[in-house]
Amino acid sequence: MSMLAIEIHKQARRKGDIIRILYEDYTSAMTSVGSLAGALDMLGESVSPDSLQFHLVYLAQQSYIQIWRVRDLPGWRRDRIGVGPAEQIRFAKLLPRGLQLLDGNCPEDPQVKF
Amino acid sequence: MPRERKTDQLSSAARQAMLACFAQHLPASMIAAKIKAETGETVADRTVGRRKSEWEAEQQRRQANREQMEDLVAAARGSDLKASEMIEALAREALMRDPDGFGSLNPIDVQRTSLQAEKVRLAREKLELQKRIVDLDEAKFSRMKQREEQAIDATRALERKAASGQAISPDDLRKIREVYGLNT
Repeated sequence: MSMLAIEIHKQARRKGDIIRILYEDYTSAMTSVGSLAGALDMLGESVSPDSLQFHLVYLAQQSYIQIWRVRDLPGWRRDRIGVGPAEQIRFAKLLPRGLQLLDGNCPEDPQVKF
Repeated sequence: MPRERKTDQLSSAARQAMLACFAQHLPASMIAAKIKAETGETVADRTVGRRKSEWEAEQQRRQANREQMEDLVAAARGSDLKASEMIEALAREALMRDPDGFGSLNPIDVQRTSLQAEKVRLAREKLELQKRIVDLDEAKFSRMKQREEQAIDATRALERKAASGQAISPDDLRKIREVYGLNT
């Protein structure tokens, strides 16, 4: 297996891990990205903040998860720089399609491995 | 492991003096001079200037986060369910980072927050119930209107029949009963 193939597989596993963690928190209205990063750390799968954001965007675009960005916070103001960039994803929630992917009830996604 | 900075070598008295000066927004050169005067320790103006910038950025970040949280709480108190859910998620994140964190919280405040979330949930359920009642009333009204139009049509048909000298048959009576929903 080439280095590139290994890296692609690794990234797909990361996305799978994210879905798994969100599944564990499925009964909650949403999970903070900080909690998600912490849970990944505990799995021994540390992901850089940029990578995590990248994976979350992909999963949201495939309708596996729903995301809320910093700008979606009630009362958010652009001049409050310390809160984080407006586009930064702050919360996520597993959607039924993500659950179906995890359960194998929808076509496999080569970008997401469990 | 964090890189050691020049100011880490200062005594705790010098560091305290430096932080007090930051809070007073004194210029870096004045802070360095004050540290020298109070403790006899020497630190470069540029070093103090860098620490001052970092301290101010951190203060600004804390202030922004505090204000954002106040707005979130205000929205939650104003029955914004999404805000309540975000606060809940952030509380879980804080607990994950500091599992003993709840030990230092005032239990009354914690209970108040959860009661507030419960209140918001109940308000949402009440609204949904009210919406269902309105939907049912609308459906009922629409059915009544439809029945009234059918009754008018049936009456007109009977009037036309009577005017032409025809007798009202059992089938006509059945139709009238049907309009009023009396057929079993």
